Amino acid sequence: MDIKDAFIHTFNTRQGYYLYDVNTNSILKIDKNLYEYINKRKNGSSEIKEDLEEKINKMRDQGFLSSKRVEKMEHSFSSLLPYVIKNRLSSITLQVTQQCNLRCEYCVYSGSYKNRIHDDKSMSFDIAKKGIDLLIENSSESNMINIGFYGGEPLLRPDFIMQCVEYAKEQAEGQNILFHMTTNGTLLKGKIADYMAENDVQILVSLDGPEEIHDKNRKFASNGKGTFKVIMENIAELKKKHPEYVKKNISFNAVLDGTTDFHCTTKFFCEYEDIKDFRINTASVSNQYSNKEIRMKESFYIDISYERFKFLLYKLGKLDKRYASKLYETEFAKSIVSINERKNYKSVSKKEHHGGPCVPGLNRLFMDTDGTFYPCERVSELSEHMKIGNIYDGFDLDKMDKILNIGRLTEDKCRNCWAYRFCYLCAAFADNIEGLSKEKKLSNCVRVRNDIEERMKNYCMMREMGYAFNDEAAYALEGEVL
Amino acid sequence: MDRKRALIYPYDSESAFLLRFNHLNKVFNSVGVVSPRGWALVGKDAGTADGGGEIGLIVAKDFEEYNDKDYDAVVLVDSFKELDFEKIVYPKLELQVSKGKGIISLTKIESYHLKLLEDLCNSNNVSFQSFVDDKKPNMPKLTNILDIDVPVIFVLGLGDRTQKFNIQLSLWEGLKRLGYNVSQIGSKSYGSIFGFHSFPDFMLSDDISEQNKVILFNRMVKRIEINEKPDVIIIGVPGGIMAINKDIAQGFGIIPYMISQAVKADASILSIYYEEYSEDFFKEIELLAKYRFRATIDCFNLSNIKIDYAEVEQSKQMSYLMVDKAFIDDKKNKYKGVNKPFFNIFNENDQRDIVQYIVDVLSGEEAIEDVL
Ligand code: SF4
Repeated sequence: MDIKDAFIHTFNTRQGYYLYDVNTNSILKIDKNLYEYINKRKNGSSEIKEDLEEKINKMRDQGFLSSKRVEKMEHSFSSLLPYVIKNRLSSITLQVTQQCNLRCEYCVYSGSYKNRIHDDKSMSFDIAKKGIDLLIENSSESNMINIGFYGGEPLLRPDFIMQCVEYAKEQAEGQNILFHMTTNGTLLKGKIADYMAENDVQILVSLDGPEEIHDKNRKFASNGKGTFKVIMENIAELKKKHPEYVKKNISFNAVLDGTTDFHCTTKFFCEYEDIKDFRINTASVSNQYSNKEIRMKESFYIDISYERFKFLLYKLGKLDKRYASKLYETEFAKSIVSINERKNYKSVSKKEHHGGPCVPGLNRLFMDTDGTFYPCERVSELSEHMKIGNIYDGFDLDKMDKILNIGRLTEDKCRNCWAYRFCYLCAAFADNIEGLSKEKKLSNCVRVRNDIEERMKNYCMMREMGYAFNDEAAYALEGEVL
Repeated sequence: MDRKRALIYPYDSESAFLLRFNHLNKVFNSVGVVSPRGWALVGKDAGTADGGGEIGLIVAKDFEEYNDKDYDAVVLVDSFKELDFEKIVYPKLELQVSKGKGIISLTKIESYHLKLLEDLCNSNNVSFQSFVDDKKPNMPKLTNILDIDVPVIFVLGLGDRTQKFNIQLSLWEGLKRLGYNVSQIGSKSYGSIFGFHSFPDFMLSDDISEQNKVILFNRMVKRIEINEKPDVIIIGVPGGIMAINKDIAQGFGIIPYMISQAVKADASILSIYYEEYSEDFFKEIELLAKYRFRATIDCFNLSNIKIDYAEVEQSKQMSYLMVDKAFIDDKKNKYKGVNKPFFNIFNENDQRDIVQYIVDVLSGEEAIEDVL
């Protein structure tokens, strides 16, 4: 077999030359000569070097360099969907109301996006009850169930939320329930805040950064004023009354707006007294369903890259922790540690699916105010093929199958894509409201492959610099065993 | 002796075999099942719990759904999900005991709770019986292994929840029906309710060395051979035979390894999770069994439980998906290329066929009458 056909990808760092072997999911460090030779051969050169071919044969003997490709893009849960909806539902997120007391520039409901517009609709308790019943009834194999409250702004209806929590607790005797809510935080006070604490509701508060940045996008609908101060007061009050709860259950979600000063944002989350101890998730303003092209300022991009660089230095013990932005802790785990934790395989399987799609209904299920189901809260409510059922008629298995097996749409490309194991494209990336589009999905692929190559490079670079990925875990047990 | 009429609590997939093999139970007659509402079984046929087909009993949400005069005792069982003893279990039992119902325990109860329960039963003058093996053995002085002369069958599994116990009960029943004198050590600690030996507690003890465990198990089997003079001994091996991946240890196959060093199997059945396996998988697993457990895998049981690997990776907790018996019937036929038979223990024909197959395997060895 010719090296030209091997299912591999090569890349290099400043200090090393690497070959990612797709079949075994291994990253192999190789010497420069071999690296260059393989690249030349892959690019069509017919010049054969015996000594290097010998090395290649040795690698083959060790089980690498196979040319085997996945034959069919098919998710391992495809034939199992009927059982997922029968015994493994584990989550439902209720769209409590479509109303909101803010008007955020980038909010999906505020007009710049194709997936929603603010409406007056609210969920009836009867629909909520049916949703909760459906979840409990079909979760016998789930270790726990999650019930989420989402909006609009869910806290516009505190009584409704309390009613749902009480109902679920009563119905789910013996099952672990986790409640969670995404809120803008402006109404998180008084009785409802105490109730959240008493019920350990996990809360994700949207907060974009310091006052001037946050208030740029997040304004009250009634008077156009910024919401920063109100949120801060609410959090401070909650912290005073329920310090343990707040420590465990409140985190912030920061939407990074590429037109603002990133340096300011990160400084705020790391140093601002009332905020610095909280967990922060970051997300970029989404491009997925946007009407407008969203662009990042160059300085913003440079700042982000510089902070990322500092974070890696900190991980390598070359920079003090106080200079590293904790906004990168999650990213580091997701993008670099995950490469270390990848599993090895003998080879690709005949039927497999690229990474990316979640099993619809398995971990996230979103129900809108009318009782219609979507695979998660992020997809467009205007998109017919994202409607995977409703509370009255149950699930639409055909649609679920299409969403799960979105790789079928691009099978010819994915079969030969070296990055398929790490791909993160799901049906939302193919959704152009009218349909699931092959072109739309494929327009993301260059970026995906670049991202994955970058992650692998960073991983290899960290290893070259002596970062020992497993040390933290090894010492995590120290107190108990040594 | 009349068996006590009992309600099983808290009922889920882990105790469904009590209903499926109720006719073999020597201690109690399972007449009803009670499960917490949140376990998604209430109001459904009890067979929904393990996906093995209808049983004909509807799961109740409370003991009150049964008429007081229709049962004598409550059987406390292991469950797949944990239940808060003090908040949920105890108050329910308290009410039952006050009504004069006895308690039968098939689960290991923490000593503090056990005392609470025993006192409760004593003060109400009702019986409390525990069938969980907790005998403490004397340590062996010698370290040699004694050969077991009658054929031994291992029932192995890739992990928990692979229906090993259903296979053991089917073999027990089937072999007896064919007239064999069967001795059995079940993979659960309360095999005695079916008249066979429980899996000994000493094998799970933290205070006994591995070497001593092997010797003790060997002696236990030898004594069974001497005292019961069986034609065949079935050993249900608890846990999984190996770590499945970095996240799923399944006890690293340590208990099966110790058992295989104590006793050599003449035939073995391996029950596997449902998955779309490649044929190479079976070749490898057979090699593993041969070199690690000195055993030949004679046939496979395809269970109706699939591991949800993505969820395990994320939550670092075991996570499963259950399919039903018809689905497995269909899938097991896909392994025609593997030259070993596949069974679905929930299928009644397979329950019969697996017994006949094992008999054939063991009698196939009759070309050599004995190895001395
Ligand atoms: S990056 Fe594109 S081609 Fe590659 S697996 Fe993902 S969707 Fe397929």
